[in-house]
Amino acid sequence: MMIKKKRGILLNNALTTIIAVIGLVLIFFAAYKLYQTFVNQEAENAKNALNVIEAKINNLNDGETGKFLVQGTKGWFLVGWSKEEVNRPDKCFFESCICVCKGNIGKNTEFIDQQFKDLCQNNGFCRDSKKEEIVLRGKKEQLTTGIIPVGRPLPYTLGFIRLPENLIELKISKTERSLEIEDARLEDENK
Amino acid sequence: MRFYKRYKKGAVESYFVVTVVLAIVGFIAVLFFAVNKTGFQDYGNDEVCKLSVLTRATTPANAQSYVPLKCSTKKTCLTQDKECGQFAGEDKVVREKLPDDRDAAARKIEEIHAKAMYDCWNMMGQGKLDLFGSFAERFGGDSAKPTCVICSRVAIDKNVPIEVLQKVDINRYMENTPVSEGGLTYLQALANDKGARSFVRLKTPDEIARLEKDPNLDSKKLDDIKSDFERLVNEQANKREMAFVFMQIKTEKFSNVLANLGVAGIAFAGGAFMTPVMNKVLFNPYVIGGSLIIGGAYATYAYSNIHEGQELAASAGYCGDFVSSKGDAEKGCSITQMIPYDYQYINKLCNSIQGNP
Repeated sequence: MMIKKKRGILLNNALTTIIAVIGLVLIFFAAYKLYQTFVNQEAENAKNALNVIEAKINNLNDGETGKFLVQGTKGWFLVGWSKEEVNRPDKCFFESCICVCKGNIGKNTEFIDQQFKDLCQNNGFCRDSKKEEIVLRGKKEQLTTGIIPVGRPLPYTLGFIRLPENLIELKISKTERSLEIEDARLEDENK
Repeated sequence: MRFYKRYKKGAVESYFVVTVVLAIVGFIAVLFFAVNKTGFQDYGNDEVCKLSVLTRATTPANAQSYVPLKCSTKKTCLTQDKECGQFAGEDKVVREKLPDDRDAAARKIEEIHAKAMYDCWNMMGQGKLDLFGSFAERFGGDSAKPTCVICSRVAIDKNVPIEVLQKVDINRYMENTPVSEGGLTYLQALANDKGARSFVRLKTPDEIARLEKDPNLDSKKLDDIKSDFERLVNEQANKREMAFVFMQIKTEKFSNVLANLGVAGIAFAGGAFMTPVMNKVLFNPYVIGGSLIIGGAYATYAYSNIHEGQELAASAGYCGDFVSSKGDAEKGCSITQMIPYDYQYINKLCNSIQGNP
């Protein structure tokens, strides 16, 4: 009758295993970092722009106004929704928000709210705001077709701001109740 | 027959536990030290940028546009006690404390600016790499329009006395100070000329007067230059923030490139880029609002003297063939310039900007 003695192998191999696991973790981490260098740079830049805008907004106190430079990304735009507005992306369900989204906003204003919602839902980044009202004013553009929103004669100031390929100066005004972001070039247009 | 039942369950001996704990703690300590205490983070950012620049320049042409430039804009705040308001709310701002002594503070300001210029030029391949051509083509852009990377932003706290800024002479610092001990001066390194001793100075004291005699500048452009110059004096002196911008533009003929620089760039870019600094006041980037006149100090020949293929001596600029993954070398110019961090000036110089803000 033989009794098989099964001694545990853990003691002999545990240290090696632990060091191997740590090494693998480091390798996977390095691979992830390397992968990140090839991730969509355009989206990263757009997100960075939104981060800068959010930081500048947070740095302002109620009642203050400031002008800040933001590096834009071609094909992206800045848009916002107030708390009571309907037709918002799911990302902005509970609060007011500002978003940076990618897409082609044509000169046709018809169903423009739906356009914004769809574009931001599919390809955008959003940040919540505690303010009840969000107002964005972009550079004036001549709209050619579609329904002109009531009270807005052509050319009218767009409720969104196209981000350029270079720098844009944004004028941000903050009150207790509202947040206004305006393309600073509007000041030159209005002169 | 006697059977010995020896129950020997696995026992973790003390030396084993101690070894494992020491190994894990050691890893964590080395990692923490390397990342946080040795400037590894900054070193890592610079190296990542350089790697991405080289990778893009040497990647096959049809894949070049898929390689992003992983260059982040460095932010430096020069202050004697407080934070720079120019960077309010922004992260990754490096704060450099200026000495109380005004002369020492001025030297420190010169050092930071010279280093920023040099680092930008160096990191972007000294202007000889074709970085934006394929990218522009892929995204429907025009490689003949200037594309930029904002390497760094340097801001001076508004509490720093104006008397300090009036002592700043970046050109003289670059002429006399080696990049590293015993090596080339900043001027020599940027000009790629060991014999360069000083920036060439034109004799005409009034830059505007010189430009008025330039036959290639029409009256509208001259008016733009004058109004921009006045705006600089009135506005930028208060902002105290400069950007170090690497710009590249491509074309077949350098004369066209340089002419386009005068047109596409800021109004004073055309004249100032090709114009050496006139006097000490103009050296000072902050007293008169920075102005590309300082950037222009790095280019010392009137553009009429530039011949095809000739490097712009004593300037952070290069016109010639680019190293490219395409079969035929493409021609153009690359320039690193210090300009006010203002969208009106940067956007006149840069049709598009890449890199991380």
